[in-house]
Amino acid sequence: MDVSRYLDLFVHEATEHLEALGRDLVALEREACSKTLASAFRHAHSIKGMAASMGFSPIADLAHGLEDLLDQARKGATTLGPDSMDVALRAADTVTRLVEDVAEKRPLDASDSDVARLLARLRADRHDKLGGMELPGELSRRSFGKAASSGNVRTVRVRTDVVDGLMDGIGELLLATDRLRQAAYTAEQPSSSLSEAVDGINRIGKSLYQRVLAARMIPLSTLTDRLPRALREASRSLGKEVVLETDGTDIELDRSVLDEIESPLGHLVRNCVDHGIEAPEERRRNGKPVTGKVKLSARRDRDRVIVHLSDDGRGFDASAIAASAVEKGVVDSFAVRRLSSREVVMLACEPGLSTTESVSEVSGRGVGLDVAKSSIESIGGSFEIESVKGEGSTFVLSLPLTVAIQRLLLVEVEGETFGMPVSRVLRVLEIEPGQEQRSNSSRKVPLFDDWVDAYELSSVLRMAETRQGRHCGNTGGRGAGSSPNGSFPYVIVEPRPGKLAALEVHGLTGHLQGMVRPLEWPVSMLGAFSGVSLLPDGKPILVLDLASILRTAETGA
Amino acid sequence: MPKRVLVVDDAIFMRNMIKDILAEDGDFEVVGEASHGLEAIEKYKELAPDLITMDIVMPFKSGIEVTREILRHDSRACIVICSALGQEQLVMEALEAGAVDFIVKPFKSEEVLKVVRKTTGLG
Repeated sequence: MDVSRYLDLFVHEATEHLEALGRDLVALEREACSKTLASAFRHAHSIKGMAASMGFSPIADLAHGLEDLLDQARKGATTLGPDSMDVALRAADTVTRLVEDVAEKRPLDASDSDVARLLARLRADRHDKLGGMELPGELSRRSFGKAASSGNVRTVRVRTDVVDGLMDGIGELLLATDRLRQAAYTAEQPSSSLSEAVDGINRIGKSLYQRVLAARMIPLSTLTDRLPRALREASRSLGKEVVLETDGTDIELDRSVLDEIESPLGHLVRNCVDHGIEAPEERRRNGKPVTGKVKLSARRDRDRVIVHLSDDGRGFDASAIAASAVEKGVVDSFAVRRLSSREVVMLACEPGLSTTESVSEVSGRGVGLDVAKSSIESIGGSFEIESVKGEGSTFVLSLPLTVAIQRLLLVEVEGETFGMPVSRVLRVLEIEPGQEQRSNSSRKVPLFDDWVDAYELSSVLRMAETRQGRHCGNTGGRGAGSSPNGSFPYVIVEPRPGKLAALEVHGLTGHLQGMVRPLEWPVSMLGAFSGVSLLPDGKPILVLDLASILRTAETGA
Repeated sequence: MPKRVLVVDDAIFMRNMIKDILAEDGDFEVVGEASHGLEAIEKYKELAPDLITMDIVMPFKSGIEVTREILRHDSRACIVICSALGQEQLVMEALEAGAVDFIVKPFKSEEVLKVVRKTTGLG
């Protein structure tokens, strides 16, 4: 029988079982539970059966060894102590690696030394009765009801590129409909039946879009379920005791967003364990519980998801970060004094600082943060650090629900049109010239009862070569948004959670629901832009990366 | 008329493989699939198939429990157990519960077809 046609299905299903198995094993290590043990056994068993059918004997053998160990424990013939758990987890890891090899079409090595060693350990462990875990002998067979009802939801497996293709198609459809609608409205002889028909197509397009979008949404838990493994590896190797708590992870995000944050999230969790959580004796000395806590919580805020990843460890040492930032020339010693402690902590994400080994020792935190921050920002997200020295720190990730289609506010600067993600726009203000606060280096505009830092978008983007006196009537050729007295509209944006800024533009030209595609090199190097979209007439516009624009504006101020 | 088959296994991979093997033989038609024990019982009542291929290790209810329950409901039900190597004891248990025969994973199409033809009276 030719089994090659089952290869994709094998990789997919085996990966699912491996993820579930990993979750079960970590849960078992925390607490003995016959139900979890039975579930772990089933996953190992399924992997074995599939691998044997495909003829992948190293995978089948290892899964078989694992299955046996779990079966013995299930029957109460052996207990799973920390060492057995370690072997079981290692075996699961090795199987994962082998399945990846299969996925990448790499040949499996039948004499893989890892496999042989683990098999021997697994067999030895079956007879290990010294472990620490007591297992309830009788399996509960009555917990069917709840989970069984979910069996009524019918699902189909679809390749992701098929869904992506659908999404692309609908994006184009919406664009074409917009174009048609404009044509219908501006026709010399407007026809109400044509307009109605176009509106009808538009409604259908939008509802289709919503449905496909929903099909691409996956719960955050698909990622966070793997974190206990990462956390366990990190804490065990460092001899630390850490528990992970999660909350709100059933929230759904677009698959492309999850793909992008998978590795940053792993980095950040490891960072919490490596550098945040103190060693047990240090915690005891400081009157903290010996077991450290890492907590991940997620909540929806308009069309964004805010993820807080916090630890109750030692926090960031702002003065150490400041000192090494000056030493490395990231900031000068004068500028560093003007920074708030929060801004100083964010310096840990600067590439020059965060990648050097020595700084990691001094400030204890930097490594990998720059990578995490830039991957999160590349999808229109933002990354912040909140930290209290001695008490712990929180990484705050603000993520878009989807990156594919965004609503954009169209603004005009120096005659050029740009898109601003509506999700970051709070409001648009018209400010009378006398209402602002100005000094040589900064400008503020009133918002509610507060003042917000204001910047000219044209100068942040360096589009204005020389512009003398913005109230001298030199507004020729600019957008329709400027009022008769010569003032320009300000767009109040929230580039980072909790941080507002006012960006002065020359005009507002409308809004657009557009497919935003990532920029390709070398345009992607510009930094101020997060993507490109198309106007209804087919003209491309750049989408502003507000977080990076604010950074440029702040450092330039 | 082809024999109507219900395929029960928690892995899509295995279900697909059995379906493909049965499709090689024009005498069988897979009319339903179930991914766990409870679904298998429901599907059996709904479809009344001529043959069930039954995995043993599944969530919620094992194939052996399901076999007992289906046979209690309909003593003429024809159930073939799908087992993996090393599950001899479970296979014995299933046969005692009333399963008519068994096939062993990894499946070989000739063997699978031989067993299912025999159990459904196709020889």
